[in-house]
Amino acid sequence: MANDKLTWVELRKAVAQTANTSEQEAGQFLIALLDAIVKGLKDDQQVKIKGIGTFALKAVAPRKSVNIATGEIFTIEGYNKLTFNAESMLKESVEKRIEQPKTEEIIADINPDPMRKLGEQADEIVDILADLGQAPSTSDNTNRKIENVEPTAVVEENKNEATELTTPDQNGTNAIKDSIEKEKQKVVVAEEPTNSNTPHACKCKKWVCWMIWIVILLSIIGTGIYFRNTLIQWWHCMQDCQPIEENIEGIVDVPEVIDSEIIPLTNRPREYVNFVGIERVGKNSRLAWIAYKHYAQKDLWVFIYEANRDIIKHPAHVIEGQYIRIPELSEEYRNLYNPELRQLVDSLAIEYLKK
Amino acid sequence: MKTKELIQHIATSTSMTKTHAEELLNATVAVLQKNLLNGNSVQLQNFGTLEMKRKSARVVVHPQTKERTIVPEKMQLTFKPNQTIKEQLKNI
Repeated sequence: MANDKLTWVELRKAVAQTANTSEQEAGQFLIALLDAIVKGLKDDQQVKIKGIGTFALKAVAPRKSVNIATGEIFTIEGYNKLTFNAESMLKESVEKRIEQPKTEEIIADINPDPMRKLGEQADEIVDILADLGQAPSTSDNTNRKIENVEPTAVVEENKNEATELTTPDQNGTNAIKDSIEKEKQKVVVAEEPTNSNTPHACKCKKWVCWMIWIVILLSIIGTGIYFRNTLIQWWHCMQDCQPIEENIEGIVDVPEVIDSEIIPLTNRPREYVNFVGIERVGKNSRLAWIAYKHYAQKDLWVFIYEANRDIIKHPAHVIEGQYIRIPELSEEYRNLYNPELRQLVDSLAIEYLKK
Repeated sequence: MKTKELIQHIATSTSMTKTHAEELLNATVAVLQKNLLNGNSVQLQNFGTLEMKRKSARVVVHPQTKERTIVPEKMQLTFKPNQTIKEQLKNI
């Protein structure tokens, strides 16, 4: 897909070719077209070109901003923004023009690596499993060998010692036997602590458990004693206060009713005393457009109409050159996410447009 | 302003016939469509540039059900207004 920039000259040439006219005429026409679009935007706020889309002006409401360096608050003035909205047919055909090969390439780049990694992992797992399958037998064997080897070695050593010692003196044999017995006893003594470690730990654990239980019980009893008075009061309340609670509920109902009387916006009288400014109605302007300019909500034109009822006869027919007062709206009347206000605005709009 | 009014306006300002102006407008629309769909950006003198841009995929959350869905990537027609036209239309 080519990503070139079609310049003005190239565009002129292409238009001249497709329409079978001279380049000069095409250039004249294009300049006239752009001028016409600008004029249309100034007059009508939007220009619709069949086959391409609509160019429209969008009012950006003034907003407050802060100068970062000085901390000064200032207002950015509202302005009009030129926007373009493509025609739905063109939009759809454009959306389908996603570069397919690129995504495929990306997938092709990404995919093989994890597969390879998975394969390696699988191999590793297989190796580990194989090791594990062999390991128990080998380890057992080695342990057994060690167990088998050690005593024999000791015996051999003992025998050697015995043979060495038996030769010089017969009295020495008794001493050797004693020494062997002592060694055996030592071994037994050495073995005993290893065996006795586990029951000792068990006893310790039991002790710890008991201590914890005792501490918990003591703490429960302590808290019981400490909050005795409050508990008694609570118990009394449980028995006595049930009718009082009902009474409280009965009392609570009253303010709710008052609140519900305050809330509805529909019944409240609307007075327009403060005004933000005066707006001159432009050519082809509408109340909705003016409302959008000042409140950033088209649907709030209803309140503008209400404030200017003496001037405007019908909301759909605003005369060019009229001066309209823009009322100041409180936050309550601006939040269209409030369903009540939405309902009010809709109902008012229907009522006024029916006239 | 609709297309008919636009043609009328062009015809009066350039002293062309209406049919000729319409032919030329159709030709420009065809050229613009062809070039834009081929991925070329079109520069309009003192007005702006029309361009096809790639919008990457994004996750959208439904505000009520909190459901997350992926909006797939797509191409979109974008228009970037020129500085001169911006200044012209800023305050009218």
